[in-house]
Amino acid sequence: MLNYYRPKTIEECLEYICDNRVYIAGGTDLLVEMKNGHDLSNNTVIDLTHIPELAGVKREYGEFEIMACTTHDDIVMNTDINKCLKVLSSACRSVGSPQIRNKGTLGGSIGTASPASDPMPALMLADGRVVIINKKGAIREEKLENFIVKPGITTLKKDEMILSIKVKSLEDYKQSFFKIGRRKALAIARLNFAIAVLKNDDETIKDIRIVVGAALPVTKRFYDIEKQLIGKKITEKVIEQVSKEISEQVLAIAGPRKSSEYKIPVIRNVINRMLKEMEV
Amino acid sequence: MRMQLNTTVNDVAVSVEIEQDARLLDVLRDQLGLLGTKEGCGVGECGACTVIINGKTANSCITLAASMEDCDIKTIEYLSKDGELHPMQESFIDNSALQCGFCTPGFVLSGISLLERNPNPTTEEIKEGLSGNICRCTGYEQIIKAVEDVRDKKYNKDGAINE
Amino acid sequence: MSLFEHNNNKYNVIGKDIKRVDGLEKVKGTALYAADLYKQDMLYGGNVRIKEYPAKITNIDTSLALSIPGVVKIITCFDTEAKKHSWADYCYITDEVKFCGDVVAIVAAETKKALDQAIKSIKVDYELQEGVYTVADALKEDAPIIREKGVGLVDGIPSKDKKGNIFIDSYYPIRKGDVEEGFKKSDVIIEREYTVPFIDQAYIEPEACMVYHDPKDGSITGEASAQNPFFTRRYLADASGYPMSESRFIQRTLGGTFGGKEEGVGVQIGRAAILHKATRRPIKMVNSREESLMDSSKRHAFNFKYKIGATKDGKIQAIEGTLVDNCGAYNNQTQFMNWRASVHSAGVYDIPNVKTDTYGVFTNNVHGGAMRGYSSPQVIFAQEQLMNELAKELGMDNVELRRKNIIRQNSLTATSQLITEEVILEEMMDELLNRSDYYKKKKEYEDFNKTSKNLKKGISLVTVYRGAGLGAEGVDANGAFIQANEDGSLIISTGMAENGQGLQTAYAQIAAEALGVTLDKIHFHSVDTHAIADSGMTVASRGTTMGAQSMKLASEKLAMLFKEHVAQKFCTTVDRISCKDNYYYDNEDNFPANYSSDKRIAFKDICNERLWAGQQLAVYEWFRPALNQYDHHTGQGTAFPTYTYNVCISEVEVDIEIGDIKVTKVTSALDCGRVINPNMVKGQMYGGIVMGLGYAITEEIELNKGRILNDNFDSYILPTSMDIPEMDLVLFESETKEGTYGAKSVGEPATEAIAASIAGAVGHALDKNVDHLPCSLESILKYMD
Repeated sequence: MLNYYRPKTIEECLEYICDNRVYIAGGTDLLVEMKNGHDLSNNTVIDLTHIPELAGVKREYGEFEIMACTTHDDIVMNTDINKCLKVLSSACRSVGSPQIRNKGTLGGSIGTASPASDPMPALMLADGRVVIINKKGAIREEKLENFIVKPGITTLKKDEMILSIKVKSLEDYKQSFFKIGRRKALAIARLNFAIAVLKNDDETIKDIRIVVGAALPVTKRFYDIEKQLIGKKITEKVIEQVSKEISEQVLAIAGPRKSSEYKIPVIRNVINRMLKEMEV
Repeated sequence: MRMQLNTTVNDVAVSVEIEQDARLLDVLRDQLGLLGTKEGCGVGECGACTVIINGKTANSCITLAASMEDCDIKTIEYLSKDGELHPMQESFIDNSALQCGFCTPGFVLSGISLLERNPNPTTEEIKEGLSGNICRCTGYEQIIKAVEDVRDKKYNKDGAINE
Repeated sequence: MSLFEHNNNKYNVIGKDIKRVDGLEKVKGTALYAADLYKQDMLYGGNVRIKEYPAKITNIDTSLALSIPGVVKIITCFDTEAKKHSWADYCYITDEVKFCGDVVAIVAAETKKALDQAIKSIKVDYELQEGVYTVADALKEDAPIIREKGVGLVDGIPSKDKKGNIFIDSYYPIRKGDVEEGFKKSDVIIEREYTVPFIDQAYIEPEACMVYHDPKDGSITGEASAQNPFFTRRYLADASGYPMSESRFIQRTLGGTFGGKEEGVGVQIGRAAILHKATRRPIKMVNSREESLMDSSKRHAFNFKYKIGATKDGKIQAIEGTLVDNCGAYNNQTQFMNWRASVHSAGVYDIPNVKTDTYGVFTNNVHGGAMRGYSSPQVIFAQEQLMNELAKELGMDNVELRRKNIIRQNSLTATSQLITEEVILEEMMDELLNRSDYYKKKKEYEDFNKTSKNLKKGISLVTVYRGAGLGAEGVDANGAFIQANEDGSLIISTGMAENGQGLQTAYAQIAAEALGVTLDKIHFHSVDTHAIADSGMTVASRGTTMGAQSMKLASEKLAMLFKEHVAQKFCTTVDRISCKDNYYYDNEDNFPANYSSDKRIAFKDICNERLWAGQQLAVYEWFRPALNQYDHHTGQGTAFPTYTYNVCISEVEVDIEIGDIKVTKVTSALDCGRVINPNMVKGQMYGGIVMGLGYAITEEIELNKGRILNDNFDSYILPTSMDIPEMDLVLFESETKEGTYGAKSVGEPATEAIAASIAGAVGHALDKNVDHLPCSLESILKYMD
């Protein structure tokens, strides 16, 4: 490390931002990368763990603002989120292990842009927006799906850092998160899914959201398919159709690769099952 | 580059010169001589390096030591510093909840931590609370039983280690 | 025979839930493992490897690495002074890299950081050579020859007349009866093939050692967490060039091994010794997990090809098989392990005609070695799926097919060994069937599966046996030392090592039982090769059943000396003297607390009297069992003195839409002979079940041209506490004249049948032949395709 800074306020933190900056929050990814040879000898490391204002959850107008250094465990334990955005609680609870959830942060899991991130499908489901601050203090917001470019790459500029993530409360929605891993804990998602549905009184769909993670380089929300469903009643036939289309879309983007043999049919099976189990 | 770290380890104020990129695990072991914290994988999977930081468990192998300024760190050595065993330690011995012993300190700390969070967990909740610690010897069964016995107050001692 | 019951034997200590004698330091975190050793002036040692294999090293440039402050010494494969080939097949350092673990240079540095930088800064040039990675490729006619000693196949049998990749010393045939005749008599004949991958022992403690010069006695001294202390000393002496009398090995607490810390730790300590000789400073070497996965031996990958025939009534007439294992680049333990594989190649069944051929094949992969079960988990997986397939073909119940064919008292095994001892296998089966409600569940699950679209349930019973100890593979001899001190405390030691399995506790119990002392009086002194003699290796689940025989002899001899002492003192005869709770008594019928002092004497007082009278207070005893008559050319004869029997029932739920398997319950019964410590036997069984579960569902070393792709615990998937099934254990005891106090093996039998029974349950759920491990998410989808 060229420099190491441990600011106590966001203001102080902005002063240290420079072209070769690397942020550390929970360290659950960075320390692993360092062990695997990621060389930080020419980097300035900015430690975000001692900035109280960077952690915590605010709720206003049907929206949550989750500060970047809020840990997965903080989110799991947050009763408001548990009530209104259960899908995010479930997703965060499926991350790694208690030890990882105690340290890993939401900002970190977005910043590393892992295609298998567990919170990501839930965040995208809730119209997640990344709030970004630059060295001069200017703030911008970007939709999560635009923010993540490809694995490990985001649109975050050298003079910027993630301040928070804003997500919509989906209080009235039926919600579901599902993860497939090779074991029940400490699992990297083989696939993960988030679905939310809101219905009208006449049982037609008022709003539906479907996200699939770990299948493509970037977690994907299926806006076009969602749109087609609005106003419709969900029948078994529609469910079959939706799950088929989603799996076909994934295959079209991913192309035929070894993992597709497994993932494509399973995406179809799981979407199908989730929609049925949610009794939409 | 080296720097000074001021923090609290097992209730003792510590000031130690560290490498900026040092892992907490190495500072505990190599510099402070706290050898009960073990390295099994170095990537936060096995939990042998579990310590309690500000009341919550963490993998010290993926914790930057420099981040630990003004923190409250507790290691396995904290438990028997007054010579007496913690109920969780007694229960591990009584239940044959250890074999090779390498993962044991981490499990003991995770067990204590999960009961502090939830004093009356179900067996499933205990399993979830221990899921960041891997044991290759015991098959977990007797470890889970050891935690259940402490939950069920089979030991007449206060198990709290955090305020 | 009987179900084991607590407090139902004549012993004071044997068969009781004695707490581990090494528990205290382990829960406190003060137990000293090798990585916990620090010495003033020590250097950190490390290894340089390349990432493609096989390769011939052409040049190594160390100049940049040597310029790094703190780098003290680099020894490359081109240095002439260091020993490169070990006494065994593999190398400390080599310019001919055959597999991912081969080391081309070793480095010593002042700090871990300097060491890491140095390793990264060493530039290695090499010529990549054509490699062979799978058994199928290695057996091709035009395959490159991996090892000079490799032989080829002539008429399907390994033969020295032809070059090839087969390791001839690992070839073991079994020829019993005439299989052609047997197949002629058969109404049903099936042929099946099975494969299993390499897996890792995955002990949580990576290999570590320290080598230094001990100025007090002048020896080069090595300390490590090793499974086999004397085996490790062999490497220390070999690499350093010192005689064994000046090469001292001290055992440290062992953080798990399961067969993995044998040659791996040996080679490591050899490398440390070479660096120590070159620097004259203490060398500490600690493997990272990635290095541990690359360097340590694996459970062998196997390909099985079986043909089995039976008459309509389910009586098996003949079995024929080819069992081929991938032994990697070096002939590590395949030559021993395959013998066990061949002995057990026809399962626990009384089959009149058996013809099997077992051999290993060299490839450019990590070498296979010992891992808990020593070939049995692989063989049993194939064998028991084969039995299920045969039952299906016969239209017969799985269990009834087994009942019809299992070995009983007076049966002949595949090696034509007459089983003279009591065999309680059928009784164990019935107990388990009853206990697990097997038939009711089987029907329920089959009915459920008829209507359930996504979820399928299955249940499967597996029966196995295991030769206890080394058998005809070696001589199961061992020695033990016991000394009493004037304060009434005792020190016991043996050449074998505590692996975490509880050997110290079992040995302390055995000494306590004979001497009538309480456990707190006994201290187990771990191996120091300067203080105790070689007792062979702590392998083959021999620690208690065979290894403790000498401890029992030594303890009983010392007890006899004490009894004679007391008898003389009380003017009575030895047979009237009893001992219990640290007292010796005249009269064996009762032990009143207020015994008058002329009828009772404290153990410590006897010790004291004997010390000052110059009488013997210590005993060393040696045990050597009867040798087994065995013909290695035909695979016929007495393979083992006694066998451990195991029955296991697994139940699963398989989500066929995503491939997920939930093992809901495992019921496992073990014939322990004599239970020495019930809680510790259970610990072995629980651990064995979960290890078997990993083998069944998640564990596999993923290889690409010999490179290990999943090199840490984020990708090598071990079961967690959330993955475990409900476990119901049943301990049985049986009569055997072999084994210490009649104890049989536990450690390996506890795991060897588990994966087979889980796979069988998956097969039942899917109504398919599960033909490979692990039953991964992907494989389940493929079965259902």
